[in-house]
Amino acid sequence: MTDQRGSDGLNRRQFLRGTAGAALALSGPGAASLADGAQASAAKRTPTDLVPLGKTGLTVSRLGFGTGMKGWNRQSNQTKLGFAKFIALLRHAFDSGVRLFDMADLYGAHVYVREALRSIPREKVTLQTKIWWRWGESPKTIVERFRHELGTDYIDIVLLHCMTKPDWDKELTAYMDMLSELKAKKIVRAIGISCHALPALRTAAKSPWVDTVLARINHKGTKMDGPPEKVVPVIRQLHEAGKGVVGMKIYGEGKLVDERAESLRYVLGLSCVDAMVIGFEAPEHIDDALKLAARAL
Amino acid sequence: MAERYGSDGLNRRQFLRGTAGATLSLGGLGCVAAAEGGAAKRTPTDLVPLGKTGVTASRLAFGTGTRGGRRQSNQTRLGFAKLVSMLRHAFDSGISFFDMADLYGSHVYVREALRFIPREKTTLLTKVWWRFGETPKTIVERFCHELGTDYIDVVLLHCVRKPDWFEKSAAYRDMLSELKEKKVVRAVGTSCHSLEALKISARSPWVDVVLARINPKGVKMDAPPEKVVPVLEQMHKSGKGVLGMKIFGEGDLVDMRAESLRYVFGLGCVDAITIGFEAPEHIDDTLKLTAQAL
Repeated sequence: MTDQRGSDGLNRRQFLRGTAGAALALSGPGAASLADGAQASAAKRTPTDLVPLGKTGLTVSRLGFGTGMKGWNRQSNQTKLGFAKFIALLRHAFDSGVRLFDMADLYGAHVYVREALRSIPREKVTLQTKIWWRWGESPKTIVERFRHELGTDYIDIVLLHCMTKPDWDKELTAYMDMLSELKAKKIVRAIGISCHALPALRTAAKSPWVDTVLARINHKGTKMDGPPEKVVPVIRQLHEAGKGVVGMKIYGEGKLVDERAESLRYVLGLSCVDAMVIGFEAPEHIDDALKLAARAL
Repeated sequence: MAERYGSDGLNRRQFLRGTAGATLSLGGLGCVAAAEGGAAKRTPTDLVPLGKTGVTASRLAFGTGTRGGRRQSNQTRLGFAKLVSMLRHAFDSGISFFDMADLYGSHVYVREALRFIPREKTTLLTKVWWRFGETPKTIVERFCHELGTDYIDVVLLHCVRKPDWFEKSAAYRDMLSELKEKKVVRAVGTSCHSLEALKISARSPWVDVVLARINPKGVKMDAPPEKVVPVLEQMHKSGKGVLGMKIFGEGDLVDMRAESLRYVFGLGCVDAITIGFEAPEHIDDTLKLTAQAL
């Protein structure tokens, strides 16, 4: 698989060189220079580049690992694989250069990631998780619990999970204040929302509280907050306001699985999406996404 | 280690046979009939009733909280592969009673073991660390998610110690009572860390089950055995389930395991005990020593 990607990749890379320039400014600290870069002297973007996440000060790999496929009641397709397969998958992703791990209380994946962190250095990864505030747990205990479950002193990104209403920023002040306080104490590095409706996303674009968002994006509008032509301007607005933008539903929750290359090319080409998370369920999914994303860049 | 106890064991069993009759009435569903007397010989893996709660459990429980804190313990620190295979080894050996706590962070490990162990063949006990201050109403739902189960057999208030624990824990107690009514929780109670708290538990009709520290030496106990045992007897008589912990004195009595097991099971007022296993050999060793002690 890797070999195939290697030989194939060169052609792609040559093919794509013409269009790469436009997006080069996005390349982060991790961008590797081309082997034949002497002639071009330009850095080729890769899926595992560490790119800045808006103005949060955090860097993330362009491709992230989503742990919440069909996530509910603290289980997901990933946790249902069982610890052996799931942890091996997390490990394989890390070994392949994936440095962003996207979790949520709702998916029940924290303890599995804690186990993966037995062999993955904590400081090499960006941990993103989300609060399922609808359960009604008091704000003050949630993040301490997450830290226990993850075995970490700090969490890079904590989001309020699944915002749909435009006035979420008025409804959830108790959780927002708690997260602001933890950010001031550097227990949490960046805060924001994951979004499931366009009005909520618009609110995020205007909210100074929001550092970063997780937004649904693909070329078809499948399982998105609206058609791409309506969503992308809001995402662009978020990006221009210095907020981090991480894309999800790149494969439309599986509905676009036959158009993976097209969707990856589309999202990576937008230039207002910093990184994306994909719900890998097998090592081949990781290899495949890395290969397709490498071609798309 | 195991072999040393093996040869010793036969003699022990013969030695103890004379005293076994007194406690035979405690034998539970899993008792096997002894060939010679027609009387049932008690075994470590008998399913015994926990007082009058209606909940049964194996006489030996797997404790998952040795040096537990911040949702980790020696058991979780073994890692998934070792801990889950140990939980399965315990179950395969007849230990179907799993003792957990939010504080130990062991729920998800047991959930993983329950991928291979039928839930209905197990007794799950866990504890609420109410000092975290989590909203009462969300706690047990979370435990159920973490365990992948619809019901939990026993939920205890963890580490009650102060004389005012009963008043201070009202919101948590009410929540547990409500869940017991809904049959989400089958029995409720306390794990005790002071004699005063233990006495209050003994008097409280709210308490179905207590987890109390007990061993022959008074090591890491609420008080010397002569003060603790009468309270345990009182609880047993009033129909509460009595579970023992610190049987090996948090490791201080590891060289007198046989004596400690014999003592606790000889009391007649302790239904089951929990031991923090950290290696498969600990399970095998305890099963053997307990069989000898019974």
